[in-house]
Amino acid sequence: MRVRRCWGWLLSLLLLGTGCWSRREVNEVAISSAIAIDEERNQTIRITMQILRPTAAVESGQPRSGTFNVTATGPTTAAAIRNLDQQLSRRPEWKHNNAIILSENVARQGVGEIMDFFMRNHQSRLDQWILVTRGKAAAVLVPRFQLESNQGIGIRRLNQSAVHSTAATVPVRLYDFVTSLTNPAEDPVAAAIETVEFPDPSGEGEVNPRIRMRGAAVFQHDRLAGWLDETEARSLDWFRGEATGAMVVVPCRKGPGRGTSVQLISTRSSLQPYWKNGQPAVRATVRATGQLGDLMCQEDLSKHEALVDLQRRTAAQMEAEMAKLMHRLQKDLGSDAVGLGVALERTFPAAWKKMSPQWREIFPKVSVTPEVVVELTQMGTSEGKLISSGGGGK
Amino acid sequence: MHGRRCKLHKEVGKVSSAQAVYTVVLAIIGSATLIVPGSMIKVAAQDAWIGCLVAGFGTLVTGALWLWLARQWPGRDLFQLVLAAGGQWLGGLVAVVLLIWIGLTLTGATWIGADAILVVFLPETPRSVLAASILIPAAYAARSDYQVVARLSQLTFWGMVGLLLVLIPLSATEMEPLRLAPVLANGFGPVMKGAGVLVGILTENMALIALLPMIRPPVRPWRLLVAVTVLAAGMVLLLDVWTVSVIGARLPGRFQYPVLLMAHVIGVGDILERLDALMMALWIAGEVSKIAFWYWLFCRGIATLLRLKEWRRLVWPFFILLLAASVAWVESSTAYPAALRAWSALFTPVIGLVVPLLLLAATAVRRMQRSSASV
Repeated sequence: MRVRRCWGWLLSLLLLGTGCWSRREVNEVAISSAIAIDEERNQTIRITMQILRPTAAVESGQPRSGTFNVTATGPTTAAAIRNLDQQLSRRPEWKHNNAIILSENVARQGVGEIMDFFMRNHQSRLDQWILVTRGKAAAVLVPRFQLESNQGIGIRRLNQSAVHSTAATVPVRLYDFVTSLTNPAEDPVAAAIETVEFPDPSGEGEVNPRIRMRGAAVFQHDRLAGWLDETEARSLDWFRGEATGAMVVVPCRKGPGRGTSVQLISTRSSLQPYWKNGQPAVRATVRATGQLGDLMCQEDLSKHEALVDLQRRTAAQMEAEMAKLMHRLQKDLGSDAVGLGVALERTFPAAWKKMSPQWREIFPKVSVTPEVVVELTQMGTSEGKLISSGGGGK
Repeated sequence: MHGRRCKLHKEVGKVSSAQAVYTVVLAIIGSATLIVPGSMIKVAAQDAWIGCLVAGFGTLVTGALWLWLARQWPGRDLFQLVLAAGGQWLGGLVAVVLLIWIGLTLTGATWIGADAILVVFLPETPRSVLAASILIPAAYAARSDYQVVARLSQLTFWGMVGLLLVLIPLSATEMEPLRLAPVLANGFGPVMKGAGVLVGILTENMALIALLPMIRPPVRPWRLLVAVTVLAAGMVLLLDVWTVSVIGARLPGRFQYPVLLMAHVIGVGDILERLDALMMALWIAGEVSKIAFWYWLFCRGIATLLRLKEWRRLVWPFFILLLAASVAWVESSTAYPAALRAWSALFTPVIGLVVPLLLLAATAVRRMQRSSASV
């Protein structure tokens, strides 16, 4: 019995002891919130890391930002990140990193080699958001959020709200980005982020710098092919079935008015390849449900026919936007960000094997037909129109 | 209390059929759950799950051969059976082959366990410390005999099943069943290669023979074999389908331990996130259960072969040997797959087919000789 007890103690010590071997206490690490990657003129990589400032380090009575940025260069991503150690009294820990921001320059040169580090390092998590910015990536990490303590969390929340609210961008996580990157049947896409300077609403001349998610960056293999604006980005979301929320403003059917806002609640999509005159073609079916956001037209939606008509017009507008996006991707950018190749590979694997080496030449010629069905399930809390054209209540 | 514990410990035949199934299932997939899905997806892509079905059926046949052999020599454990069926020379040779195979299984499992912790969590910890931290509890359980190993396996098995039942629904929003298409796009070739990866592990279902004499109340061994094979192959199939439907078929092949990466993807709101440590803890428990079983069988086998009365005295001396072997086994993680392939290609047909067929033939010859002598 005594021997067993001894063994029990030894085992407990062993289990506790191994945990101490590689331990890093929270007061020994510098926790990263976001990383920006730029490229210098001499082809060295510049890494800028936003580090969370612990509350204990903030001097009492002196309000300081919850973060600070450090930057270092190196010939490779790993070397640049390791060089950050020269400026930090604590070792960088980026298991909690929220976002990786790439500059346009880096994205145009090709991101395949840069991504290798993030897929290889044990601290890197697959759920980080990938973003591309038009200017310097480091500029995005200058603190600009009013409601968030750091850029990383702010960017993460902007991505999350983009899915459910505006669909003005295409939020992509690291694992989705790399899956597309390694698949010859599709091209990657990433959210576009930018810094903007809004004049102060009070009109006192001050300028408020802000961060904005706007549009998307589409790639051809691992190189940036071009940019999509907000309308194109939301169309891409509809193709990919990833946006649950977007506001579609449908022009008034007749008479003056700003239009009718239809707020989409959910969208589901599927790509169905088929053959048309011996050439591959794809039917993109989108089923969206939504609710009425507001009514700024002289229309009476209390009648079922009017509602059906609004649903049809919303669908037609979405179809037109999707067709415009496909034209842009096929004719201007040459990027299969929609994933037509993946749909063809899944449906016609034998034919795909033959056409995959020439996919870049075939892709612009593929006929894509968007078919959208919109169902308005809710009209909001009020009925009919608040004020009629004559100015009186209904 | 002391008396009751000692009585339980010394009592023979206190393993239920369910405990035997859990023990052998974990002896098969205890360490495989982390690496096999990735290895299978690497060769069979989205068709890896079909490979699980093929491997499951194939190893039911090899397991049945061993059961048939056990039926000829009832009441004997694995090494007693081998020595009885093969006689002094052939039986001795087969026992040595089995011991080498079990030794390699133990070494490989310990190496993988230490490597996974090293690569994913503690890159600065010496490999020997991690290997020792896995081997010591396993050796302790093995020394405490099969009842303790069975109870450990029972707890771990339900822990793993429970975790999967939580994680898979949580990742439902990230799952895209279309990623499993197209089916058989490259024909049966890659599927068979994927099945080959799993067959090398599922052949270990013959370990059931070692526990058969200890199961009370006795049940039909066929049922246990089917349960063990279906559960082991089914769990790998589930992991294959889950992994492909979440991160696709291209990414897992690029990672050493892709199943652990699934914890990166799973998150409910900002509350239930970063389940990596929980996954790793249960996986290490599975690893310890696997090593404990094979460790126990290894020491029992050597004692049976050398006709030693006390097998427990072998546990700690072999601990040193296994620790040294598991640290020095392969140079790096890039050499590991090649070593595993070579070892699997050699031993899978030998353990799955050659040995049981040889012993069945030896049994038949022995019976014929005995009957002609009696006439």
